[in-house]
Amino acid sequence: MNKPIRFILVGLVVVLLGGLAIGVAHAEEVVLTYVTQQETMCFDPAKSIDETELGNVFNTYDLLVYPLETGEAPVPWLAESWDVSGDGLTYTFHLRKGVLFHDGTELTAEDVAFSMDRMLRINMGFSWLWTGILDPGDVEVIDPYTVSFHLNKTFGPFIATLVQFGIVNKDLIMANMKEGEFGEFGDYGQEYLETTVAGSGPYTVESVELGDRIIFRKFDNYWRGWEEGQIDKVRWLIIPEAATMVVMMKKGEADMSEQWLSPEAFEDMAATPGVVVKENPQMQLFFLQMNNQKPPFDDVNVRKAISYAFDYATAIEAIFKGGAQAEGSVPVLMPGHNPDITVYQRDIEKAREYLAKSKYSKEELKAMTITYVYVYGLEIERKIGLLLADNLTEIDFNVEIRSELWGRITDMATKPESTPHFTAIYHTAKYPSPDSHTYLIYNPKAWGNYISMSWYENPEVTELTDSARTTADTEERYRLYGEVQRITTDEAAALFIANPVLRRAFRDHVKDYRYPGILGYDLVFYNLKIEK
Amino acid sequence: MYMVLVLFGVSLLIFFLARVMPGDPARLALGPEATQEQVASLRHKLGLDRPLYTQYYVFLRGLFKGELGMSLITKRDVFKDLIQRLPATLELVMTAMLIAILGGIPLGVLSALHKDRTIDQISRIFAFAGVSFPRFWIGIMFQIAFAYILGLLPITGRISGDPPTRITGLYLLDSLIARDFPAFVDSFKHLLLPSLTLSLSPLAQITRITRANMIEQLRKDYSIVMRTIGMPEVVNIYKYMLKNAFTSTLTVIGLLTGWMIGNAFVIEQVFSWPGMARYGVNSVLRNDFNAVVGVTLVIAVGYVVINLIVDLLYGYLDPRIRLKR
Repeated sequence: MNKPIRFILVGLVVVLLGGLAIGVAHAEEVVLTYVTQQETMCFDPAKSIDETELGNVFNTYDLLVYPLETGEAPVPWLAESWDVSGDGLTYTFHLRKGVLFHDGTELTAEDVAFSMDRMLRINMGFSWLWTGILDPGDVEVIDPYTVSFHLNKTFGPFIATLVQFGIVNKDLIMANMKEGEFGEFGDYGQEYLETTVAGSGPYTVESVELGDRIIFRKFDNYWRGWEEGQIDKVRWLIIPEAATMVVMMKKGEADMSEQWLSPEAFEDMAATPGVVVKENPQMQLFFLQMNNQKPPFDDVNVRKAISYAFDYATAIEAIFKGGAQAEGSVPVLMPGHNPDITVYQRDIEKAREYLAKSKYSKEELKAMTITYVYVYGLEIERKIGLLLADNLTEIDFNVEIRSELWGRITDMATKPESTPHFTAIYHTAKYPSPDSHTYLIYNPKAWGNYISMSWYENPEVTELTDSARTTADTEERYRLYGEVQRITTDEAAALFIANPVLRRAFRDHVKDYRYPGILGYDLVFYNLKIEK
Repeated sequence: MYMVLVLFGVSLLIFFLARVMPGDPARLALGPEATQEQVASLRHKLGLDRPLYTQYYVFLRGLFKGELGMSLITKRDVFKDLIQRLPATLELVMTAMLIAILGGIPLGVLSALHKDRTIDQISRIFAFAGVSFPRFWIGIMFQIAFAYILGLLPITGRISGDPPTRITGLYLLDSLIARDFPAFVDSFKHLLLPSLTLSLSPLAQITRITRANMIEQLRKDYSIVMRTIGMPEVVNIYKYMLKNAFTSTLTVIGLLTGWMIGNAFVIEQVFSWPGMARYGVNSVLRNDFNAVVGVTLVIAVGYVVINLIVDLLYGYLDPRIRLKR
């Protein structure tokens, strides 16, 4: 064989083998397609609030502490350990060494301090968690791996709130900042973080098509390492039509669905071979706020009568199609839940007994129109309204059901006069502490938003929730929260209905799904594996 | 001048309407648990605590700098969102209109030439159905038939793999510029069902109006003379009659194009098409007032530009209009 021909043949073999190798490598890439209706696309940990945004953050950033599925207090994560000063005002975190940001630089205490200052100064997202607790400059860098948070006052749930604190890469942000309102920090890199990330989480953002898709790619140098079967690439697709999403799951064009589909859609998917619907308890309360400042709900006996008249079993079995009956305002899964409290069951005789004790006469009550307001488009809430209206006719109440846009409901929530008698509300924990389901509902300092539409006021409960916040000892804090739960259920501050389950559909090759009960955390794709 | 006045009027109207929608935009942006202080701080940052006329002045000033204010949903400037979203809607609308014109005009002509015969009856039923059937229903039926059962076309989205390098944002064009032919074919397949669904109603209307105008032209003296002297039918129909009949069809095409930009929402929703119409409706539902203003302005500009093009084309089609000027 002459030389040129041999040369060409060798070249061809090399190209073929190379192509084969690339092909094999490509074929081995583990890809997961996630489908959701929610469109929001924000990658900035200082601005994220809803499930989609939080999912983006938890996949691309890391946190000092991490929540557990058991609902217990968060565990060390980037912070390997921490010390709390005797007065409960200083938290000193000892950081893990060798954690890299996506650009290869090391995460240090400087980044932690910068991230908290940035969060507080931008004053959006979850910064409300630390309003009045921390001010910019209150986080001190002791050495590259030690950082201290100096709190303005004792704040019991502080560690729990850190599950919403993503750490950004200071140097990368500073190198990409634009002119802005924050002086030497410009815009704090807000424009930069519109479509990219500056984190150390398991995934980086490969591309973003607004309103269409986000492509996440695994970060090879992630500090927890990688195992076979974990997801290399995530296709996060926005599918606004629920019916289309169901078809995609059934056809195998998607591997994982969002949680907001109807129970009927999940039933439909579960009946399809190859699709598995997983149900997990969550730290979520579905309740009907009863406006305690509006007659006749200003009378505890009327509220108790309603609590006894409602048919909880039908609501959970026929409407939610799963989940547990709520035991007070704190979800059963939440640490600090008090199991020794009044749990109302349907008992019409008792309902009538309490009505007889009411300051309102039967005729007065019959003449009143009780309004029930739910969020426009939420079918479950509409059905709950119908069930409530039906149940309350047995004690001669006249219920008017009305839907409103969410924006209108948040307006109504600002004043007791504009708040309807009943408002259907879902309240999901954003941090694993009973504080979110007690202080935010019952303490007048937190009034004015949808969580506090009961306008329940009791000086003893106010005192207890204030004290709990400033109590550093966990056991004592839980005791105080437990007392709040006892009083507020005794007084039927609201109609506590359910702790619904969180459902997601998966193709059956997706394994190891777990949910720590906090909104957005089950979207951490690092936890998932695909078995071929 | 009139264009500027129209746009000024639209901006004024929509600006004030967007600010009286129920719900506090700052509260919605920050989330329900945000403190009153935080809400007040964001209201200040967004200028919502200032008098409306000052807000409008700031808005107009920003408009000249290419800024439409922060979207409360995406937390970036609305202008950037629109730049991202508009090409998807334009690609969909332009393709749908092309289908409607290429289908509607021949069908209208054919219908007129065979008035009251089988072909005309079929065309009339088709036109009636095209206008009457809800678009979301047709879209879902197409998805079930062509995507789910036959598996010929994709169910949703604009492209299966990675999009072509962004130049215009129109995937068909960008893939051609990049000479990425697989991406072109893939984008085209994705575009087919949504654009066909969107085109049905305009197609039906164009068919109806072309038919009516052509019947009118067929009765005119010049058309009878042409036929009598033995002018070939194709020349008579397409060179003389259709040109005369086309003026009112053009008006309808102009109006329909403007209408489609704003009303592609249902199609974008069903086919997960990441366009501007869907963005606009979501903005209304979530009280994203800056985005509502931005989308409305773009639609208004769309109408104005299309009307201008139609006016210019009138002159081309009818020399009397040109000479009057």
